Amino acid sequence: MSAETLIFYAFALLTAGGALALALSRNVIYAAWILFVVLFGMAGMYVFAGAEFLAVSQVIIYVGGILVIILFGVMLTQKIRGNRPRTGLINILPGLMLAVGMFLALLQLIFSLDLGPLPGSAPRAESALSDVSAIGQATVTDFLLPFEAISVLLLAALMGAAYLTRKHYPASKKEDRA
Amino acid sequence: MMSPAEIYLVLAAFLFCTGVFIVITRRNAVMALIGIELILNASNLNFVAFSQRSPDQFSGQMAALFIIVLAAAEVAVALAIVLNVYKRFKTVDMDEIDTLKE
Repeated sequence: MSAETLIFYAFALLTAGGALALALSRNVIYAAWILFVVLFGMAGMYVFAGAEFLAVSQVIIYVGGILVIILFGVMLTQKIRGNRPRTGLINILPGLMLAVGMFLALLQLIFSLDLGPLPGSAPRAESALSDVSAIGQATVTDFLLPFEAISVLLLAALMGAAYLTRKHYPASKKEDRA
Repeated sequence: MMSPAEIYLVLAAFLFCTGVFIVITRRNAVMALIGIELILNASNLNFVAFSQRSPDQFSGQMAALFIIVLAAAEVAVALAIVLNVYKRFKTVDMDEIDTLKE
């Protein structure tokens, strides 16, 4: 077994173990940090799948952006001092049955698939060390419309989020200025 | 022994089911959001795994990129809503937030 294979399995185990710890964790802050481990492990898996740009985006956007927002969300909605930020549990038995049942059904589906390379697909050129330029070209040619649409969507969503959390000034202030 | 492609799919299925379990069992709204992030990431892993089957095309990776952006937008709006709910109800327990109007 080569070192590459070992690292691949290590990342897979890191991701799976992190997800399991996430399912068992009741402390919301710990859960946010375990999510960091899971997302990082997934970035490693992306590298082994030949998606280096996606791996870097995953680390920058998820770890640098989304995780920080989630941590802010935890800390702004819990009374950290005094009691620990624990979360209650409901529906454990139905949740467990649903999750295990779906997992077994998906396993059966996965092992019945034929996972070889598609007929007629060319292997990637050996000279292409990085897929960044190819993804950049795909973004501005084949995927231009979805790219522009998602830019507008992201702008609208962030403006909406900023509007929702704005400070509420008293209504009389506008009349004073008039 | 499982092939690497199968490992990706099994791992994605595991992450998906864990995310569903978290969304169903946790009462904290932020924790449910973490579960939703897991589900989105499981779908991303599937997209990347299947994009390996045709390495000369980037549709799978582009879909995964778009999902990452959507997840960022989703988590920003969702946490803004959660903060407003906390301001009004002084709790983020989803069992206690059951009114549309005070």
